[in-house]
Amino acid sequence: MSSQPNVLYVEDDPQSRRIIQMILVKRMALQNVTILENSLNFQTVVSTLDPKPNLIFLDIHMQPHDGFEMLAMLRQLEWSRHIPIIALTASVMSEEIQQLRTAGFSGCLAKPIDLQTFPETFNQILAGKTIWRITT
Amino acid sequence: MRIRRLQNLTLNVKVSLLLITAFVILLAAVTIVLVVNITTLTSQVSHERTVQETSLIQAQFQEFNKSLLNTVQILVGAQGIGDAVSASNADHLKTALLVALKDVNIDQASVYDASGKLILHQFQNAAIPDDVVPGRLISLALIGVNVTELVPQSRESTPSGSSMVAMAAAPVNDATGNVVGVIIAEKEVNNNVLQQINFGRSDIQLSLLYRGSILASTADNRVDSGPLSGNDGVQQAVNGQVWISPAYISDSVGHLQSLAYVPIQIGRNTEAIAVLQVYLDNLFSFQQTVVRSTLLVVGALALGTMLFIIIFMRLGIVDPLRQLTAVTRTLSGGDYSTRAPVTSADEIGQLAGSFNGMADQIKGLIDNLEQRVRETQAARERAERSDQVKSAFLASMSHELRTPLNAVINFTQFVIDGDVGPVSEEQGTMLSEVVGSAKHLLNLINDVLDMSKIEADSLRLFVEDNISLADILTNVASIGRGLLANKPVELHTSISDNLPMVRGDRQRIYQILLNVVSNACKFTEEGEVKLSAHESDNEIVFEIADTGPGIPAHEQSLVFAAFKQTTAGLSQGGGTGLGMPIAKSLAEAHGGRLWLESTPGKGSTFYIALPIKSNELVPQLT
Repeated sequence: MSSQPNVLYVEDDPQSRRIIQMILVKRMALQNVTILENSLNFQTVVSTLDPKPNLIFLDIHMQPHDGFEMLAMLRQLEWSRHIPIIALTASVMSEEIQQLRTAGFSGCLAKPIDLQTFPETFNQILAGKTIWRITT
Repeated sequence: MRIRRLQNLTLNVKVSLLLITAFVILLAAVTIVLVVNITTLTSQVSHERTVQETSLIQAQFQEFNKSLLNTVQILVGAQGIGDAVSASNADHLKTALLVALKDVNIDQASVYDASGKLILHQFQNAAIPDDVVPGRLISLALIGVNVTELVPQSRESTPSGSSMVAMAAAPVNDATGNVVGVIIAEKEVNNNVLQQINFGRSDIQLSLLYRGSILASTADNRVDSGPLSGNDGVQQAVNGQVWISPAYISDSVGHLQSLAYVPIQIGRNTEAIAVLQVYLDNLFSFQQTVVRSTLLVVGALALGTMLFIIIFMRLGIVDPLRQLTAVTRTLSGGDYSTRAPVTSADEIGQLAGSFNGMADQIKGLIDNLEQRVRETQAARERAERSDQVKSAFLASMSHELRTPLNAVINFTQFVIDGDVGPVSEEQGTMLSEVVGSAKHLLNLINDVLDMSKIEADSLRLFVEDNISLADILTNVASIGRGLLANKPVELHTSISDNLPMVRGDRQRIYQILLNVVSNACKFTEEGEVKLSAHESDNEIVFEIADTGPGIPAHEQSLVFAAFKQTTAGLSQGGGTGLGMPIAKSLAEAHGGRLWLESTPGKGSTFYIALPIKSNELVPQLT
């Protein structure tokens, strides 16, 4: 019940949203999954969430706020300062990974997702492990 | 020491000192030359003057002598004198004589008869009777000779107690022409007489010397000028020759004079001589005036010249040099636009001009340098911008190509896994081929983009410290085993305990190892792939040995060439041929190496050596 994690996923690409939804909700049977389709009024929207997420996946290429801006907003909030925030992106060239690290992401998962290893990775992230899974 | 102190003085002071020295030397030289010449001249002039004076005095004494002779002849020829003497009538004689004496200037007249006996002694002034009777004069006159003589007489009124009296004797004739007597006219050569002879002048003193005594003098108090007897000069004059002192004589109060002894020729030669003292004070004060005024003029001219030279030096040399020095300082301070004023065409002006030329060149060079630095900077910025543009393009390409593949791979996988309904075995196999091909395409995209970056020299490492190789190797081995899942090939690892943490780009090190291990797994159909790592000489050496077909020597260079494949690679079909070149480039970017050893038919071993902590790599994250 309460052992189930509260997950927030922000993604503007419908296909990506659908893939994650299938994994988290259908395969892993998570109940507390919130998915936002854009980053409009992100700070306000995030603040109204109840219960608060304890794991957040962010897409990077988004409007009006990109993943980095959303991360910065989250890191300013008391409740989200220390929770894992993972970049879920197709932009995984070396420099882009560096930017993610420098910005303060807890990790990065490259699209496409490796469906086989994802549940294990998910649990590792919840356990506080830093994951930089780039190669498919 | 002192010379060094002199060298430290400013040019102005040096030149001034030099000029003052020259000025002093010049004045001294002029003074010496002037004094020597003027003194010589004065000496000559004074000697000549003394010579002239002696002649004049001698002539004066002769005139005096002649005058006295004339006087006595007047007396002798006066009316009634002859008769009275002839008659020895004293009364008549006195009467006649007094009349005659009115017209002449003598002290006294004495009249003697033919036997030499005194008839009358008539004084004109307050004369004193003679103590010496001039018997010789009387005798000579009685035989008809007119004669004169100086005769010393006792005179208590004079300081010396005696006096010289000039006497002239002439015979007195009666009506028939017979000599009946003698008249002697006398005139004392006293101070007044000497004054008249001397024309009353004050710069010349005339004295009468007789046997060591001054009997009369034009000076109130005659100044002593040496011994008056016994010296050669006095003796020469007594012998009848003029003697003139060869040099000046300074008297007891410092007045300079020229001295002469002059014989007095009145009648026969006597020991009475005239002492002539020509005072040279005027001459010397004139000389001093000449010297002083000459020095004044020369000094003023020299001083003026000196000032002119100093001002000229100041304006023409020192000031321009100072300005040049100031400009030099400004220039060396970094202001290269300053120029020295060129105020003349002389050497100083030329110096300023050539200095300005040098400054122009320096400014030109610096401007040029700055221009080049700006150009280089601009070029670098352009290159960096183009680098960023390239990177952004590649990143965008990567993202845009991955996004659809993402959907293809994941959705197909959902279908294969039965998430959306049952799938037949045949369908599953075909869909797996789709996923495989899509993943291959994905890798292809990654490799091509990486290679583009490497070839465009825009590869940048994200360097960090304390990278754990164990984690990476575990990960790589796990993926390798996945690749070998359907083949009778074992993947073994042999990793040293306590491998040190390394410095480098975590992602790229992972990529290097994965590329090499994947390559080995791909080409090995049976046997084993062995992954080992150990520390050696500040490096970590990774060894990936396989039991694949091996690579012939002539194909080994193809392994690391981009877009090239070996025969085995081609026959294996698949792969871009980019994995190994990328791995090699990334290893080298870390300051490491990648090489291989192979025996065809037996297998290949790839070696990767990476520095543990290269100083060439600067960590961006700590």
